[in-house]
Amino acid sequence: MNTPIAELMGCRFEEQCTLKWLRNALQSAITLEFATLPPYLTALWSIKQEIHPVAVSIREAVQEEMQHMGFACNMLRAIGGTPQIAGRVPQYPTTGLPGGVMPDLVVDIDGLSQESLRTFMTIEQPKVDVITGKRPEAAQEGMFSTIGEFYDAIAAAFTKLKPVLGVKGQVIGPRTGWAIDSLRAAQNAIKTIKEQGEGSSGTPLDFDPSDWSHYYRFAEIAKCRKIVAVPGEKKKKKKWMYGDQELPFPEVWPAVKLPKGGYDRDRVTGAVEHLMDAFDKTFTGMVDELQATWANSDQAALLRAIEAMFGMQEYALALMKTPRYDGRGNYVPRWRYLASDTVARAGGAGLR
Amino acid sequence: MLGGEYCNTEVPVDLLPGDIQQLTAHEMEVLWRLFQEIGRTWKDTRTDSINIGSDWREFIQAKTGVAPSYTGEYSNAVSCVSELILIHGEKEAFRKLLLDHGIDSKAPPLTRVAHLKVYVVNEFIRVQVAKEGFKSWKGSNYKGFLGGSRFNRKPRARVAKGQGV
Amino acid sequence: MKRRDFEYVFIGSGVAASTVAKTILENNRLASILILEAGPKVPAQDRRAWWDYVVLDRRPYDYCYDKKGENQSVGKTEWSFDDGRVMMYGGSTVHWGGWCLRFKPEDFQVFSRTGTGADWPISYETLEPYYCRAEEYLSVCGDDKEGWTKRSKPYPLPPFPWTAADGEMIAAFNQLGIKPGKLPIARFRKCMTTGTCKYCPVGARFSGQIALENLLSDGRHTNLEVLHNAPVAKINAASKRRIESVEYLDARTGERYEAHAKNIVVCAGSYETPKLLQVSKSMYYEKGIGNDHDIVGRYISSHAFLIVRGERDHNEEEWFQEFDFPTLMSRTYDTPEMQQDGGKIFLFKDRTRPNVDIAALMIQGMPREEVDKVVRGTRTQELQAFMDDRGLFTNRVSVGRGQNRFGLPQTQIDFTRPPEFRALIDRRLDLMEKVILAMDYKVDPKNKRIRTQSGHHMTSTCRMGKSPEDGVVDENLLVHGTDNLYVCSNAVFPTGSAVNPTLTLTAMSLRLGDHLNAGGT
Repeated sequence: MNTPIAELMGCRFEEQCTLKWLRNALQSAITLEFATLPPYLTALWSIKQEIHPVAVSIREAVQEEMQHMGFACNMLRAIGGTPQIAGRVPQYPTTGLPGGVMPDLVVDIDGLSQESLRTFMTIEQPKVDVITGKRPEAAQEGMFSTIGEFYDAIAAAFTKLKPVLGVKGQVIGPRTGWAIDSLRAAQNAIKTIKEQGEGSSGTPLDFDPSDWSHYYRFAEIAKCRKIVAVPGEKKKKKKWMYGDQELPFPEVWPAVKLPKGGYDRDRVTGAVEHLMDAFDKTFTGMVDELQATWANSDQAALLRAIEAMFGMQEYALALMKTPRYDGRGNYVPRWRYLASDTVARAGGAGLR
Repeated sequence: MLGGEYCNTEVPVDLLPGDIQQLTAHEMEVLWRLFQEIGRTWKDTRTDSINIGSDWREFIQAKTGVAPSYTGEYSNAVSCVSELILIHGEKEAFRKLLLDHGIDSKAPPLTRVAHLKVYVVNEFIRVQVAKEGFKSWKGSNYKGFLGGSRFNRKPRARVAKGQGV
Repeated sequence: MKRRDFEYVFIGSGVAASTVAKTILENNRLASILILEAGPKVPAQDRRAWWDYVVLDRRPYDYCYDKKGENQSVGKTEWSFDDGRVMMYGGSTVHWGGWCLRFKPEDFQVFSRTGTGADWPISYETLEPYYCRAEEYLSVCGDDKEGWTKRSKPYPLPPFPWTAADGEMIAAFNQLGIKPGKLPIARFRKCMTTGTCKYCPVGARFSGQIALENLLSDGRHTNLEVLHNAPVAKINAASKRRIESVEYLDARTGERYEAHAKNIVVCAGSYETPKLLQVSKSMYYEKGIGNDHDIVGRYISSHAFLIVRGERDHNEEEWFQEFDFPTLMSRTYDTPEMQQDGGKIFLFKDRTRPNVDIAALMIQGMPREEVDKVVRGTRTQELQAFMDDRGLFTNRVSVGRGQNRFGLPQTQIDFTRPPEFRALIDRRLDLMEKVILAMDYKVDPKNKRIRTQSGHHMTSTCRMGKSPEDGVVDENLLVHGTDNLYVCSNAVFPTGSAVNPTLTLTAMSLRLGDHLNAGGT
């Protein structure tokens, strides 16, 4: 069951904190982390130059999101649950993140743009933006205003419940994180997810001093300026601001938002339809491989999933280079999970 | 001579039969312990090999799930290690097996302990070095290591000056 | 013999066949095509096979190479058949390194410029747009700034960086006025540099096998068929001009077939293509198809492989091999001037050095401190080069004694280097030695040499020529005197230049595909 995060967030923690709650919360976290991948990847792939600093920055954010999903899956495995990934893929454009979080936020599939960056920043928003002082909108009573607070609740649940943690079934490695074999390991995983997403307390940094958190990466890209630290009024307190160094906005394919309901099949060409179908089949295969990774503790399945992602990139690129039938810009992939299809193996489809 | 009567039983050079066998949980534990001892012996792991546990398990799956299966070899390895521990104690057993074995890996393995060395220990060493161990010798990459996208900020190999992304 | 009918029959399943087939299918998804491969199909991206490659250095297609004792070398220059080509579904790009360099304009005019070798009936300018398409298709990662040849489009992907170990040789290059360059290689975006290029676990390096699988998995290609374990015994002529069919064996069932086609394209590589034409005798072709003037199989052109290795006694940086492809190269001596002097050389740094096999030391039982000493001890670096070859009439491929394991006739190579070759090689090796000495390494004279001659990059055995007297095929790769038999292989190159042939072969294949789509000859 994928309990709405809003509902989880709203639980009166002291009264309802149970292992069942924790399992449901971690499953919702998995769905949430996975849901960020399609919009982030589409934005990344729309950048023409692979090694542009903006592309490098977003790619790192994507890889960290995948690792966050890995952490969440391993934490769920550690307490005896089985991650569900297949069948939980949102249909884009989606209103509200999985589980009912930010119920009015529209998440599109779009190329990199100021609008898509605003959406990404909303997803990753910290309690307070250390540069602008901006805070997220107040949440309803009993709810959490950020995903970070939700992870705080998960951390508190681990501390309170001190569940027995088993390594069996976890997938451990550079792509999925360390073994969740102790309370400390779980707390470190949650801290990593939070800091890589929204930054550590009072700074844009995540735990690695050379890395910005996702929120501030997107902020830099939107502002086209690098963030710098300057000495604050008090000796030890740094201030953060947008400095003089430019971060040029990269050249992108003129891909535009996926329309609600998808494209008109009668108006797309056969070649475009083939690309869209091939993308969706490969995506479906990728999701199935991710499901198999944790269902069977199978690292080989994870590698096939990663490879499939590259296959998807080539179909996505071909689409983003193709003008739409209505002349409004170029296509983007649909990111449809084909539940009932007999799908070609993700690893075999796509030359690249 | 390494080991006792069991270890020095003569066997053919080919893979020991075991195609329809499955490894037990205990056997997996002993094999994992053997794998971990490699990193401990050469001090080339910061995570006691836990960070490459999934890689190791995938390797075992690939070697046992497809013909010609190594299940018979792994089972033999566990029995040999057990005898070595019985004779020498744990610490000394692994030290002798990894550093003082007296076995020529280029010669055909004709005893059970030689099979342990050639088909199990040597291959485990290659997996351990490829997936993690090489990093302790300043390397960024190694044959068999999967570092990630070449478009990442960190280059996939040690690069010449001025060659970063 | 059972009869089957197609629009196209391709003999061989390597990069040439799959590229021409792909070009035809992009124009007509329903084109009826049969691709025949003599060798077996070996699974790609198989996890067990990959792990065995990592721990045992064993590739699943090792049995598809020529074996010792299967072929004959009868000339005065020793010829090695080892590891030169892979006889399997997907062809030799299953094992290639993916090095993708363009020939240079002067490579198309060797005879006009030097009085030796041969001229191509087409120019670099004619092929240039196809080079661009080939680089896109193979996903070549190269450096647009280098300017070795004129190009009308940038590389599809940026180059790989020079490694730390390249730095020493780059400094020596700069000192000697040799311009360092980044080797252009075929690697898709998903390359994760596993160091196992010869059997990539993620299919990140182009191979004919992947190309075929992609064509077959496209549901629109309902009339495409690829058979492996299907050696072709003979090509049949219905008349002097009209080539009507190929005879092949389905080795799995033992049944023989005659595949009739409107167009037949021989893509069987520089060894098998001439042999097949030679054995395809009839009342119309007493010496074999295309061989009226007895030039099929002749003019073997094959790179000499030069090496100079140096050694020093310290490796404090603890360098060892990290990529499975070279990154540093130079075409400073790949010039018209060197061509005039008898042989251009293409320089590249050996990808396998410096290296220490750390795992091997541990396997021996060496403790950590000793391993550290070895890793920090002796370091070797090696500069390598290919030298272009001019092709002599007397150097020939022909049918050897008996058949090999895959039902193909064995190969006889009659190859002899000319007398002036040794002095030329020595001059080139001296140039290369200067680089190693400038790096402050010592050179053992035994390691300043050429490798045993082999056919890894062999070309010209069915070369293009304007007339049947000086070529087997014309500028559109049509066998002279026929209306519908084509050859698409390294074999058609009149000269082989100093660089690897596969990018040029891919460009030629795209060009042939366009030609066939436009109605052929």
